[in-house]
Amino acid sequence: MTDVHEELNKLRLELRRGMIVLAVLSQLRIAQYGYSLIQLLSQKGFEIEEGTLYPLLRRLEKQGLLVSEWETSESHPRKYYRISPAGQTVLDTLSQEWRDTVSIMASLLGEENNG
Amino acid sequence: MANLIDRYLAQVGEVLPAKERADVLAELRSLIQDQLEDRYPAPYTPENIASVLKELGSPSQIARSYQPEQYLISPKLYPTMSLIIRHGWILMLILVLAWRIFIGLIATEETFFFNWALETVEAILLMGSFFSVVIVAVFALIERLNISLEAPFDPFQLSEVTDPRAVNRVETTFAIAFGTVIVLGLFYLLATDGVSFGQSPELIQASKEWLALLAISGAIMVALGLFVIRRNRWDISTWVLQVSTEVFAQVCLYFALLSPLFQYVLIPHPTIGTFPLIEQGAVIILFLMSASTLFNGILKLIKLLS
Repeated sequence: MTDVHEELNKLRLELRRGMIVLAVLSQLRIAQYGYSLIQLLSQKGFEIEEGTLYPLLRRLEKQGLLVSEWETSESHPRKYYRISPAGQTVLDTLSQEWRDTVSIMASLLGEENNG
Repeated sequence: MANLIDRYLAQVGEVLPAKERADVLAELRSLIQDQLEDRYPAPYTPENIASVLKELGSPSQIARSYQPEQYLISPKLYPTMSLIIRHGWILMLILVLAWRIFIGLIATEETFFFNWALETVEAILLMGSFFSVVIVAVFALIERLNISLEAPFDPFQLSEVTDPRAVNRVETTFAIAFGTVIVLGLFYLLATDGVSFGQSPELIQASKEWLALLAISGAIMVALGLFVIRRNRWDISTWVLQVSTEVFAQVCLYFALLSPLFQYVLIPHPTIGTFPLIEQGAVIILFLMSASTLFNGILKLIKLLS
């Protein structure tokens, strides 16, 4: 049973891995800093750890999908991220592919439940 | 307060690449401050800070999350490397054991079996370790240089079941790996004392010129092996080059090692020197090796031409 539980956790992580980028890009039309983005996603039901999000934000920035700037007028400096034009194009494409995939999976799982 | 956060960030920073360090640490400091502001009233106690840092994870853990996955040998190359090392150890065991038995038979002084066995185990471990280190280094270099050992897959290029152009990838990869070790060993000998035969003080030095030619032939065969494995087929020109280089290497082996071994070690030996045909031994071995190489070479050449 422990093995099944561990395998389930691994598969759950694999399933989430693909969704995290889409979830993050979708919330950065308005500039956010890392902690505010974690709270925003959490309020909408998507939990993500700091150790996962912050490196991801840097990676997406290096890939040109996000732009960032330091804001120093607040209580302490914060690095704000928002989606770039290239990121918006990627988000639009991935969003459509996600909807198509959800539709296909619903059909497959519907067949599985009926079959 | 500042001390605990500073200590944490200093340890994270030790592992980060220099060009990203300042920005990552500034962002982490901002995150820690956000979490403290969100959860605890100011002024923050060391326990408040420790709680936030514990949730973030250890410095090495958080630093690792910023680094991309890196492999010395990637999963793509690892199975091939592992196979070569396993087969190499078996081959080293056989070769070193055979050599040590040979040395024991021709020795003029008596040696305790225990000492002989101990030295044999030491030699096996040394040669096996050297072989493993070289193979890992070669594969690490292939990984770093992003060299592909496979050409793009084209189903129409798949060899026929008995196609003479077919390259046995496992055999060729092993030959490349083993050849690399031998060539490196030869270059090492050339750079140091070389090879000597006979009994002290009448030691005869093996010809460094022939040793060098043997090493160069070996290097050519290794390079050729890499070339054909990339193309995934033999053709007439590569096969002719392979066979001719192999025969030339056998001739170099004769002049560099075989002939002096027989002349200065085996023939003067009181027991081995009485064996029939011992004086022609080196030539016989050269003849057998070259004949076998040429016979198989010509057979395959005929198939390639037809």
